Amino acid sequence: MKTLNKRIKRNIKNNLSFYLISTILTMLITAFIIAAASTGNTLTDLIQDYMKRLKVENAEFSTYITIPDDEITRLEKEYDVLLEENSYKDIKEGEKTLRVFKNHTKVNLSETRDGREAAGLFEGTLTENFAKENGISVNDLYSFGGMEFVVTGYTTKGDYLFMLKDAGDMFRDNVNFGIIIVTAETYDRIEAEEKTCYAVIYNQKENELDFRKRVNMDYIMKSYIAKDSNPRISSPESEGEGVSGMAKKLSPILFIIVIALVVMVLGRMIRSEQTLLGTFMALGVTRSEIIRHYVIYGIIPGIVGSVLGLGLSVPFTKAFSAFYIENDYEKLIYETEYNIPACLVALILPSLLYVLTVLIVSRKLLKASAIELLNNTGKDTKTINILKERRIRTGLKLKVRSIVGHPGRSAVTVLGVMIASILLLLGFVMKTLMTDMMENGIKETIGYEYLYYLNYLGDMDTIPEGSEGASPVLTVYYEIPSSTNQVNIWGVDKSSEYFKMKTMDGEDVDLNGYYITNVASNVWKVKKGDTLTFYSIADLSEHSVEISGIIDDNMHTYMYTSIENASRLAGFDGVHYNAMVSGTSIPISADIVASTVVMSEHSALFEELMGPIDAVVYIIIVFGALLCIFIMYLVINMIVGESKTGISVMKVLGFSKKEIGSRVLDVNMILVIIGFLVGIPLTFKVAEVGFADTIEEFGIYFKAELNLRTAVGLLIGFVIIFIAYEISLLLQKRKIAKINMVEALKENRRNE
Amino acid sequence: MFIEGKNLVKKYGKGDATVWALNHADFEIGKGKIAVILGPSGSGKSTLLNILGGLDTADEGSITVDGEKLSDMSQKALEKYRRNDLGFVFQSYNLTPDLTALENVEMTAELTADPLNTDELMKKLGLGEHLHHFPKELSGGQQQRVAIARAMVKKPKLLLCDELTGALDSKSSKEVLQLIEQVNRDYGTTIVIITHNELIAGMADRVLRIKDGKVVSDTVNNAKIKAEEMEL
Repeated sequence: MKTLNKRIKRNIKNNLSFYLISTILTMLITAFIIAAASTGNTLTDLIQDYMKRLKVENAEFSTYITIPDDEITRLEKEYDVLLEENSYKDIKEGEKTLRVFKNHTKVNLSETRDGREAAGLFEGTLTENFAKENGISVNDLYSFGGMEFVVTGYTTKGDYLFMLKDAGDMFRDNVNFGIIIVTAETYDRIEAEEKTCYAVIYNQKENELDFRKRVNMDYIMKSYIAKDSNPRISSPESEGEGVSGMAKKLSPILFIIVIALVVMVLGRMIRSEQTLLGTFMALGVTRSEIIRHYVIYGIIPGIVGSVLGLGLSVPFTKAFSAFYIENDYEKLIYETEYNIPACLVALILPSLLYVLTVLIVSRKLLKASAIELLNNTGKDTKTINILKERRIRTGLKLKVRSIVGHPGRSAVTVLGVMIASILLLLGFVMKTLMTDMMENGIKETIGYEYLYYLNYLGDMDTIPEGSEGASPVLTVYYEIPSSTNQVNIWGVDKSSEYFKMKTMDGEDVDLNGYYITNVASNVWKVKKGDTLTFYSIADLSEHSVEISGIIDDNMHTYMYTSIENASRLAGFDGVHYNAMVSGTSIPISADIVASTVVMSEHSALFEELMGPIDAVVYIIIVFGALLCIFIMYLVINMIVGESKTGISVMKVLGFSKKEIGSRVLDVNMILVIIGFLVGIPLTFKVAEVGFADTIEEFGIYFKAELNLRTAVGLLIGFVIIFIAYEISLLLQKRKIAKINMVEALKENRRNE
Repeated sequence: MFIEGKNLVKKYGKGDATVWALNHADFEIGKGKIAVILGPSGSGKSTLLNILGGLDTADEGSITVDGEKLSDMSQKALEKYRRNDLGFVFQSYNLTPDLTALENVEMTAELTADPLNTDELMKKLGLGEHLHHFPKELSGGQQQRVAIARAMVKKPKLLLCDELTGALDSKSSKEVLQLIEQVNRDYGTTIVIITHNELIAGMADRVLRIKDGKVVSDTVNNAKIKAEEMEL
């Protein structure tokens, strides 16, 4: 047995390509699975722990009447809630806004690091991303808005992990928006308008509705945002689940494909040794000894690949975690956590499956007698009659029969290329969808450039001074039952030039009706003619409207109607507005403007937000191309290995290298094309599923459809797949060149 | 002479472990003749076949086929030689399993500009009823017939047969050898058969015996008998 096992080294040397590629594939897939699952764990646990530690709100709300301190205590007791004023002041300087908070004690706490908490007058802790973007360090004296602060440290605030200036914003802006936490004394000295709002944690979830009704009754609710509707909180919370989800959805498919591929090649390798198995049997080696010997063939790529993969998963997990945590959110102190079940599965499963394959194949082979094995009668004996009596070139017949005659091999090739294509194309489709959204998504649906949110409710009879050429709008958020996304109902002046919209069916929008955007239609699964039910955030009164049509806007969960309808839904007497829209900047008084949104800046922010996703896209593309090369190489290596004698005979018969390549290797091109074509619709499906999270997270719907841009992406993808295929062919052509012509004659002599 | 081997040397290994596969071997074979090279295993006959087939080169000496010196040829020229001038028949047939009998022959026919008519050749070689059969549907003798047809379709000057009856029973062996005679007669092809079966020597025009890498005898067979009369 010891002597028998000496063969293993030589077998590895002879089949170096197989061992190398199957080990690399096992390693990559193991590392990927562990890293994906572990990153999901790290993110989820980190965010959950952070939210719990910093007592992040369940909801925040504002009221028309201030809630007195003693009333807060009374409400806390009565409804078993934690309630704290969460007011802030915004200091502005140019386009930059610095939001000033006092340190909270009950809800939405903050955490200081790299320094100490603010203790003295005009000391403060700054959010780190803003500080870094603006070149501010701890202990610096920071001048802003005519004030000077000593930066005593960096901070993160529980409800501002994802730094959106307004909860309704989609994009963070680390350059222009930051937070500073100061002492109560400093806060009081800052001369800026205070925005009063409250943060609440429900100890008894069932008390929420009663609590809201009571607050509305006594203090009149102005706004209410549950944490699931607040992307500052929901975005980081759902990110971990998203990554875990991806690990759960994508990884098993990849894992199965890669393992199936290795298993298939391994099985064929053992089968090709059946004459040797017969020889061992004839020499008196027992079946169990033979099986034990061949089991090592499976254990080697399984164990080496898994162990290397486990090692590689450490930097992978760190890189993935850093990518998600450090790019998207305020800096958090974290340690990567490893998903132990994923580690165990990834470590054990490949070896187990490889060994199982060897066991099944060798046991099946060893059922035959030594003589049968020596005569090699177990060879594939299927007859493929396709094109049998057709007068066409034999090269073509050979190709067709090679595909049909080896269905297992062909299926794995197609599946392998399909998976590689999906990975590769997914990157391109994501990239083109994002570019489309960036270039057209905002511009096409929004006809105005400036949106001024006013700090009062205006009457339609009195349009603010300096707003000539602008249109008044009423925008009010409503909650949708069992949805984390709120609908923003836009009451639009029918005569406004900025809302000459058409539905996706091509009909003109009649503002007497109610039109929702495409993303809203997808989020709430409502179509034209359906009824959408929503309720007022303030008094929880329920409304239902029939949807008149869908507007092609994949970025905003909006409903458009006339300003009269919107005022009526809001329960106003008469027709009112709370914002103005305009094509150009208007000389409206800053005193009446709560905030201004410039749509082209939104595009720039979107581009910035997409930056990190770009990196993921390129990683996916590179991983897809690599996988494609490995898969192609493994399959072609297998074909060459199995065709050694045939190639040798062809050489003897005078076939040129090109002719041999054409007959033996080029057959895979058709499988590559099939795999690629099958991969296209699946890529769109995967992209749709992948982007489904963006609807919940950002309220953006990426519509995966074939258009000129995605077609170009697909074409580039195919070129990469083709190059990957050609590279693997090139590598194998060298192997073909090395096949000795005497091989065919050796076969003769073995049979003598 | 059509084939001339002069002072051929082929060695494997070094020092004391040197094996002389060919040890200054000389031989000649005339055009259109059937030559049988006889020798036990390890005698050097396979090495000779490899060199004659342009699959291997000699360390010393020269070999000429129809005036072309193989020992001076580049790999490309050797490839052309095998493609245009040489037919090869193997003991284990080595037919392409995914192609029918006819297609196996056609595959080689596609290599040359002016091949024989495949259908006619197949019928002539007694394969008319098996044109569309796959190798595994044919007997050993039939497979070897297909292999001969595959080699002959490109009208080679030289047909090399390596133990062509080694895997066949006596009846099939006789039929295959008859076919070799037919090919030689009909197409005037020079045929070299390498075998360890002494009985086959009866049908040869010339018999070369090899032992320890040396041609120990080179005789003209004046008592040539037909394959069908041989006791195999």
